[in-house]
Amino acid sequence: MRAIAAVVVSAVVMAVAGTAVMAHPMTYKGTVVSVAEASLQVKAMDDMTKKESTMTFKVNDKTKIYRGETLVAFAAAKVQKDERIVVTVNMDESPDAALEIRLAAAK
Amino acid sequence: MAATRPRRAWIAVAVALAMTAGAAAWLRGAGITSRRKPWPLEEAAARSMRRYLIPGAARNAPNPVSPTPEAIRAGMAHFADHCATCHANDGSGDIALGRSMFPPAPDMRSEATQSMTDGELFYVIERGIPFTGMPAWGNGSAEGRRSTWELVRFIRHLGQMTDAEMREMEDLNPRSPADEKQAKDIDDFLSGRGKIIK
Ligand code: HEC
Repeated sequence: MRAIAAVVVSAVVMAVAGTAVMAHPMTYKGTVVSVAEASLQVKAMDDMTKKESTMTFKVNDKTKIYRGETLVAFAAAKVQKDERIVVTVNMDESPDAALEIRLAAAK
Repeated sequence: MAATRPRRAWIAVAVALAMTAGAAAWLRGAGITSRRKPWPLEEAAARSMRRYLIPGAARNAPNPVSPTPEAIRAGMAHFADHCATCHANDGSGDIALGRSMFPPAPDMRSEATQSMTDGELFYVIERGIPFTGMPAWGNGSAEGRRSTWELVRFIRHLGQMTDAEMREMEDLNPRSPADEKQAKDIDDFLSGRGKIIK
């Protein structure tokens, strides 16, 4: 019974959370064009328009940066020009501030 | 004199009815929303009503599960899976769903929650809180009760969460098939399998 209740609640919660939460993030997959102290430029495809463009994302103390599976500071991530990058932003709050940055594990 | 007492009672009833009607008229069209914080008096009233209704024996029940690291971890895993959608991994309630319901999910690290007894926490987890978003999780089984007591241990631990524990919980949070697919797409892309844009 607990399992059934848990599944039902999870389903309802996920359906609600899905519309409430998932509508806001936007994920860009692209390559790094340049890196500055608190921002980076990324060339990526816009999922809606299917056009490539170069965008600038701000990096702040709320940005979570993952090098592989490891959470690191922006400087410690040593982001390289031309490497692959995935940037997630919140379209409602600030479409140009990176919430999450993902990079391939260091070799 | 004997006739005045029933007459007074009728007057009291009439005044009470008039006040109720007045309040109803005043509130009409005031609007409704689940996106607000309870007023202090409202919250105090709800809490004291809850305390009043929970039987003394349940309130004073000691936690049979010792606060071992294993018990806290078990509670943490369970919390990440079933509770964090409303309460957030850190128990703050600062998450879309918890903030948008009325009453909102409380910050369980606060005095208001931490001053509840282990027995009271156990009781509300097992039986839920009527007229709120808090579901009942108990099923009456001994195994279920055990895991609820572990949850109580974890709630006591909320103030001392480490970054490593937070990350571990993120991995344990439920994900929809769409989330899984997106995570896989990202992994594929970063490991060089996806289409590259140059
Ligand atoms: C669907 C949303 C939801 C889920 C899932 C949920 N809760 Fe709650 N919970 C709430 C809300 C809303 C309240 C506040 C109710 C109130 O104000 O009386 C609450 C209150 C509580 C309280 C009382 C805290 C206090 O200070 O009054 C405890 C303890 C609690 N939840 C534990 C849990 C645990 C443990 C789980 C997982 C097994 C869980 N909750 C899952 C919504 C939820």
